[in-house]
Amino acid sequence: MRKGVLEYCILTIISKKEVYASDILFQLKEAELIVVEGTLYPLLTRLKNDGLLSYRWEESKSGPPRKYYEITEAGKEFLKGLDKGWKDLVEAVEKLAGK
Amino acid sequence: MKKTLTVNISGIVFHIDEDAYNVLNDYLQSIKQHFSRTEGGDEIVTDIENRIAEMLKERIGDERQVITIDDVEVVINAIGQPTEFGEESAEEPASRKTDTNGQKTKRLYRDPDNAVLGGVCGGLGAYFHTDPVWFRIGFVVACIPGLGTPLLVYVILWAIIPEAKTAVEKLEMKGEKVNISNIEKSIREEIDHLKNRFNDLTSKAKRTYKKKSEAHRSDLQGVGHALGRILEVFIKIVLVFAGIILFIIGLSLIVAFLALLFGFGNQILIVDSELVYISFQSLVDLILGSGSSNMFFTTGLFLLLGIPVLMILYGGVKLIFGLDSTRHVGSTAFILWLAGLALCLYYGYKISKSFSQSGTHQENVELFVTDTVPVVLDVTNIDKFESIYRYEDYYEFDDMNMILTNEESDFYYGLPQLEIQKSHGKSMELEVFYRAKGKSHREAVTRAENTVYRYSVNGNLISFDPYFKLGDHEVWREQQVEMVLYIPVGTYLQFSDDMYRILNERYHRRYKLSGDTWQMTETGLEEAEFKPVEYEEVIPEDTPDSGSNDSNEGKPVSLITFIFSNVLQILGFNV
Repeated sequence: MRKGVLEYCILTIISKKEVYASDILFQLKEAELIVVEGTLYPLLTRLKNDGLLSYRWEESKSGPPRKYYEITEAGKEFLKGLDKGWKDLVEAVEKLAGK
Repeated sequence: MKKTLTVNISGIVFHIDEDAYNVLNDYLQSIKQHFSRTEGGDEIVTDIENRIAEMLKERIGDERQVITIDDVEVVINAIGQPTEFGEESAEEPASRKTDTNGQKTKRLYRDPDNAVLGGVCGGLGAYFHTDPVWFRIGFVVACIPGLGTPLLVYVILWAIIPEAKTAVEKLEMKGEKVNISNIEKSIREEIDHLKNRFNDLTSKAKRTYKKKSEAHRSDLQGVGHALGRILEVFIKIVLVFAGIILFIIGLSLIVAFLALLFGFGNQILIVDSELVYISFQSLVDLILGSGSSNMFFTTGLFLLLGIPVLMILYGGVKLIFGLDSTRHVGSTAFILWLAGLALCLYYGYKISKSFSQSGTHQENVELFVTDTVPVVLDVTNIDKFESIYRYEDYYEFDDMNMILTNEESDFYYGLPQLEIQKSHGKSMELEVFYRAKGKSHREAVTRAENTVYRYSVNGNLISFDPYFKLGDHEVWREQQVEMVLYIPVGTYLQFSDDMYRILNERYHRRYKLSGDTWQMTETGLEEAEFKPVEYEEVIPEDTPDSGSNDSNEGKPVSLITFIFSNVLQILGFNV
C-alpha cells in the first residue's frame, strides 16, 4: 500500500517543478514517508520506464552530474487518475470514520 | 597510519581509507547483485552511485581529504540495505538488522499471502514444506468430532504466531537462506504484487476503499470492528464447510459418473429382484452401433452430466480455498453443457425416429415328421445360455422378449415366442415372423431379415434354439421372433420340460404344457391319455452351437447341496 502512495507522492512532487533525486528525497524525508533513500531509485526508474517521467542531465558544481526529472503528458494524465483515486479513498475513509 | 585508495565514483575522485573502501565496495556489490535481474537495474545502480558520490562530497566538504569508515557508514545508513528497498512499510527499518547474512534460519510465521483465515495453516505448510491444504483438511476434519476444540487451538495459534510481514520473515518462514538473491526473488514477487496494487489506486473508489480499509485494519480498533471481524471469520468458516461438502458431493458424483461411462469394470447396475451388471457402453453400442454417432452421443452425455458435476467440484474448491472467480469458467462450462444437451437431443431424436417404422420378414416351412410317435418339441441345449438361464444371471424385459446378462461381449439375447395352432390340412407347418423397427419400412424389413434364429427337425424331434441374436453389426430395434406351429388334428405333441421358455404366454398356459403330452383336437390342444415311451434325444448335427445334453440334467440336487448353497446365498455369497 505504502509503495503505491509513495509513487503517487513522487509524481506529485515532480509535477510541481523539475527536480532531481535529492530534492525528492528531502521532501519525502521531511514528510516522513521514507526512511532509506535506496527505496526511491527503483521507483524513479520504473516510473521513467513506464513513460510517466522524463529526465535531463545537468552538471553540478559541487558533485556529480544530476538527473533532473520532469513529468510527461502521460504522467500528468496518470496523476489525474491517481488524484481522483486518492480523493475517493480519503472521502471513503473519512465517511467511515464519521467525520 | 592508514593505507588510502583512490576511487572514482560517478566521475568524482575520492581518497578513501582501505577499511572504508572494503565496506563501500561490499555495499555496492550487494546493491548491484540486488538489482542484477531487475529491469533498468544498471540505471538504478548508477543513480545510487551518483547519490553516494554526492553525499560523500557533501560530507568531506573542502577541508578534509580522506573518506573514513564513519562517512561510509552514514551514507549506507541513509541509503539503506537492499533488503529494505522493496519493503512495503518503511516504518520499522531499525528493528531489522542484517544479522542473518547467509544464515539458514527457519521460523514459524503466519503466511498472509496464503491465508484462508489467519494464515496459520499456510505458515505451517511453509514451515514443513507441505501443501497447507493438508493442515486445513486436518483442522476441519478434527473440528467435526472435536466440537470446536481445534478451533480454539487455531485461534490461540493465530494469536501467538507472528505474521510474516517482510521479505526476510517470509524467507525465514519457508526456511530459505536469507541472502541477497533469495530476498531479491521474494522482493520481485512482492513488486509484482505491488504493481497490481498501484494500478488499483486508480480504479474505482469502492474497490480502492475496500483494499485500503483492509490494509488499515490493524490500525483501526473498536468493538464494531471486532464484531465485524468475528462475523467475517464465521462466514468464512461456513463457506469453507459448504465448500468441503460440495467438494465431497462433487467427488463422489464424479466417481460414480466415471464409473458409469468408463471405469471400474465398465458397468452399470440394474437393480431388480436380481442384481445384474451391464456395461453402459455396451448398452449404447447395442442401440447406436459402434460408429461415430456412438462417440458423439457418449461425448454429449459426458458433457451433459459431467459439466454440472465438475462445476460442483469446482465450486467446492473455490469455497474451500477462497479463490476468486476466474472469468469465462462459468460461461465456457455453460456453452459446453449446451453443446452436450444439443448432442443428446439430436441423437435422442434420431434414435426415436429409428424406432418409428415396423417391418416383418416371414418364413414358411413345412415340417415332415413321422406321425406314428408323438412329435417331440424341445429347446436346444446351449451350454453358455443354460448357465445364464439356470442361475438367473440376467435381467428380463418381458414386453420386449429380451434378456440382458453380465456377459461383457455377448450380453444380449432375444427370446423367441412360439404359438401352437390347429392345422387346416394334414401337414405340419411352421411360420416364423421376424419383426424389427427402423426409420423406414424398408430398413425395418432388412433388419428383420438379418436376425439370426435357428431351429431344427430331426425325425420326430423339433428343436428350437432358446434365443435369437441380432445380425452382425446390427443395432437393437425391438427385434422379435414369433413362430406359429400348425399341428394337424390328432397329432400327439410331447413338450419337453424347458418348453415353457419359448411358448407364447399370450396363447398358452406354458407351465401346464411343459413336460407333458398333449393332443391336437378340433377344439385345440387337450391333455393326452397317451403315455409315450421315453424318447431319446438326437443331437442335431446342423447346430454346432448346441451342446450335448448334459447327463446331469434333471438329476435331483442333493438336499445338503441345496441347503448349503442357499445358506451361502443368504450370507451374500454369489453361488
